[in-house]
Amino acid sequence: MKPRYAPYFFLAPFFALFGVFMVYPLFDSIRLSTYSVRGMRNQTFVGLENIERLIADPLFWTALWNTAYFAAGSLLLQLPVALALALLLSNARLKGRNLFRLSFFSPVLISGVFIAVIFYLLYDRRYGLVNRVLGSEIPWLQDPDLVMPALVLAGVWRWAGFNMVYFLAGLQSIRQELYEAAAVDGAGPWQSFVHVTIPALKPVIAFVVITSMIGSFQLFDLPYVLTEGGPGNASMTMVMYLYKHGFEFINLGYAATIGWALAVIIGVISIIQVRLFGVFREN
Amino acid sequence: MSHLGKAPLIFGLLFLLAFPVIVFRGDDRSDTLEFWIFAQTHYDEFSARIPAFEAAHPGVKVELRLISKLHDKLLAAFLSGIGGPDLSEVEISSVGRFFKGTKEEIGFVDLTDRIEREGISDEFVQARLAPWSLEGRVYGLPRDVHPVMLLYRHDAYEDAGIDPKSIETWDDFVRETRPLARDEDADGRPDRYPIMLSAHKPGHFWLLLLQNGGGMFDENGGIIIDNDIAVATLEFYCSLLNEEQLAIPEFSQDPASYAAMKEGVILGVLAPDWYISFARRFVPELEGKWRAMPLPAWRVGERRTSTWGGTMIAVTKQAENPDLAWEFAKFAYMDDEALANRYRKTFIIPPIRSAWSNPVYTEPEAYLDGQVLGKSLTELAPHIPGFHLNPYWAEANDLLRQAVYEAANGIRTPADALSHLAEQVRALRNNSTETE
Amino acid sequence: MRNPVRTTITYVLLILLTVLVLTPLFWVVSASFKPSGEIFTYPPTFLPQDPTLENFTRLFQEMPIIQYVVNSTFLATSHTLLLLAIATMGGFAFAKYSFRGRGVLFAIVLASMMIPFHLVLVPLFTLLYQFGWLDTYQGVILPYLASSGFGVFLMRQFILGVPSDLLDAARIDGTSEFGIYWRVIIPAVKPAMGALSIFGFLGAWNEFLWPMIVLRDAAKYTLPLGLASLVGVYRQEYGMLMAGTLLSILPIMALFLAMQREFVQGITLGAVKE
Repeated sequence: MKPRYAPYFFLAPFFALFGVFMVYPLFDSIRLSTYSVRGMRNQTFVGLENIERLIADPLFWTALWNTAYFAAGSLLLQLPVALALALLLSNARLKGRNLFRLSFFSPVLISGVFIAVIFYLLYDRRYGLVNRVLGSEIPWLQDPDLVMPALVLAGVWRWAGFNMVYFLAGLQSIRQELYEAAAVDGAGPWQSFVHVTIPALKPVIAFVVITSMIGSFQLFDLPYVLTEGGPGNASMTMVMYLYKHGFEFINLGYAATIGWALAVIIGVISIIQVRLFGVFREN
Repeated sequence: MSHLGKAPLIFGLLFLLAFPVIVFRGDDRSDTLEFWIFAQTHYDEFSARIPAFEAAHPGVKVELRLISKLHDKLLAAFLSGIGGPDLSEVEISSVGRFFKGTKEEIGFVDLTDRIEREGISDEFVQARLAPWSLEGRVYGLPRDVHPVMLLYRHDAYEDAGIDPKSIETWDDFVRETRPLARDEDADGRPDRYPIMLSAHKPGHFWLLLLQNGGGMFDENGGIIIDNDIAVATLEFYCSLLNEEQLAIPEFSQDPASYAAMKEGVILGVLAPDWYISFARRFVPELEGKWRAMPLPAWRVGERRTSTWGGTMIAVTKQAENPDLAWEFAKFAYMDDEALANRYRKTFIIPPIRSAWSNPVYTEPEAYLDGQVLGKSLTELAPHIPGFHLNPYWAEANDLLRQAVYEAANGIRTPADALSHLAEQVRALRNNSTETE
Repeated sequence: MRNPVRTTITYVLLILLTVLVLTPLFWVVSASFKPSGEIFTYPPTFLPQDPTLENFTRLFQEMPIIQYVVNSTFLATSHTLLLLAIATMGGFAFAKYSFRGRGVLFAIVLASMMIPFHLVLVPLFTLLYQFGWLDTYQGVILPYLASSGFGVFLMRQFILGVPSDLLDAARIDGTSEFGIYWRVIIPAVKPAMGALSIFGFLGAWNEFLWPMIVLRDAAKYTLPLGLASLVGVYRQEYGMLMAGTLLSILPIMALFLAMQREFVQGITLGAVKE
């Protein structure tokens, strides 16, 4: 093998899989979205009808709203929590540091289905631990106004420890001299946090914000097991809606249309965030 | 290999342990009948019966498989034309999804001629063949009738001086049971409720609607879910939950509901035959305290039962030997002794009239304080309402869930929720007729 | 930690948060030792009043749980090993060669990290049908590997740090390009492979939706799929499910403890280093 061909040889496995199982399906899903598909053999070309239907479909907008709510909730609640955890753990002389870190990280090790069932039990109206601690009988999962906040909290529990590890890594890479210089200039803890820590963490924050956003928009297993999209459709998410049409109603064309709507939304939001943070500019 | 580091070593070793098990696992299904089911109770019943069938048919092996998400997988198997079983059970709320498209696209074998040839059609409760039929063709044998009764706390009724016989209609029920709903700790909410109704799922409303003579579609496929009967039923349903405070909303998970029964918070449940056996199994503490009465009627002298749930057995077009599969279907669903056993375990009475003469249905039931449950159930069974299947049933059922939830939680008025629902179902139908 | 007040506050906060995070897990452990009636009692009990092993024995008697473990292990290890191979090779190419199309191809890798897998769910399903791969393990594993752009990216970050002199020295000794990959690059990125393998294994071990769509035969089910059938419309075995959850976390926990250091290192390079 000549060195000239070597990189192509090394890249072949990834791009072969990517071509067959990603690129081809992507194009196929564009095609599918212009068809009305009943079963796998019975396909009729309908042009843009699926898109018209999507725009006029109130349930699609409900699903989009719920998904956006979850993503925004994750961003506003989970990331500050993750950063706070990282700050608490950032001192190298802290005793039991590894143990704390492992504890905070442990929810990540559990499959989403199991997490859903655990919260199913915790959130129960009468027999759940949450209401027991609060001394209430709040129907967390059956009240349309509470079900999304309940899911956001479950999401915080699940992912905050994961993002904490990123922040922790970021904090450790900040050079100590920067803090010392700030202290010399008379900066208190808050000022050095705002003027040293935050700017230095910018690339990590960008990475965490973008990956969390992409992950949040694909929310499926928590509501699928926990609420089946209910009560009513108050916790229907976009991927659940896609699944419902694709694999329960077997409307493959419409499901592909929902998928593209999801992809476009994620794409637009990612690009906006990339621009805002100015990451990847060096490349 | 040490230069690879520990990760590839650990995972490589685990892989080598699992690989042979996966590869050398037998996958021989030449002379087997593969039979898919979705419920553990059915699994227990059939796994006890299969050896007898295998003994009567030498060389045949029946492979019983408990499948989660059975309906999604069966549908996918039909669509892709591979991987389906020879026989499958199908649950009533999911059956509509299998009857979309043309007759050729239906994945089940048309059993009409076999049923007629063997003269067994008249033995079945006719209302129970309907859910598995489309355009006069029958695609499955019914497993059950599932007549619904009202399971009530006899002890609480006695304490309150309520005579169950005085409850003939739902209006009687409201009047007579009101004293049961007491708020003892004075927190503004009753601590005991005469009945439990779901505020999120359509099951309870649906059975009351059927009892009242309503439905989703009429026999011509017309949409009747927004007619006067439906609106009146839903208004009454919501009033029990909200204004009257006689109904506790169902818990999101059944074990929670059972626990609330145990505590004495729930004093009555809409109970088909199978549910009474669930109560016996999961709330054994209440043995001797429950009894079952016919449902209160909507008007004096009218129907005092309904039906909830149901299962069929069907032969799929992927069956290699449909005749053998048909033999097994009859064996599994029509053997008298097996049906009697099923009743003992699950209280489920068969849809076959001749089977009701078995003495098992006259045995007193200790869980219900010695009441002869089988007699009550078989007396009610011929009166259950029928309903008409339709290709849009799956979507319509999903929309019904939304309508019940909206009405029960005050998001829309009952009339508004149902007319909105009817509108959406009509749009659904117009949509799919256009594109065909 | 010069300031004792601050130290105390830090510890108090950390302990409170740890309690908060661990309570749901404690609930799992507690519920898995409760008899079936006790999970739903009012008021709820923190510790099992009447501890029992019933959930575990029933789990082994009534479910082919060993089979699920074997299936999950097979799926997750095959995925992990293939991921390691694909990602190290791809990362090596991007980090140490300059070739025509490198910029474009690397941009594709970065962009692929943003494509939601669910977008191709439906077409992938029809593709597998055409391949005859429904209800097979390759049908679960290979499409999932197509979204391994993150792995390629991560390995590139690591391999950038391997001194190029090493490679040149090996070339002068007459080592082939593949030999360089196998004997120079791989040993140099051992910790990175530890990190990536945890990511890969965790994802594949816990994945629910994709195997649920592809696999039909219950004998092929993974742990999450098999255990999920314990709770549904027809069954509510919460005690057994909690016991199963506990069993499925333990192997992951052990692996994570064994490779914690590499994992953190991997995360650091993925996010921090540009």
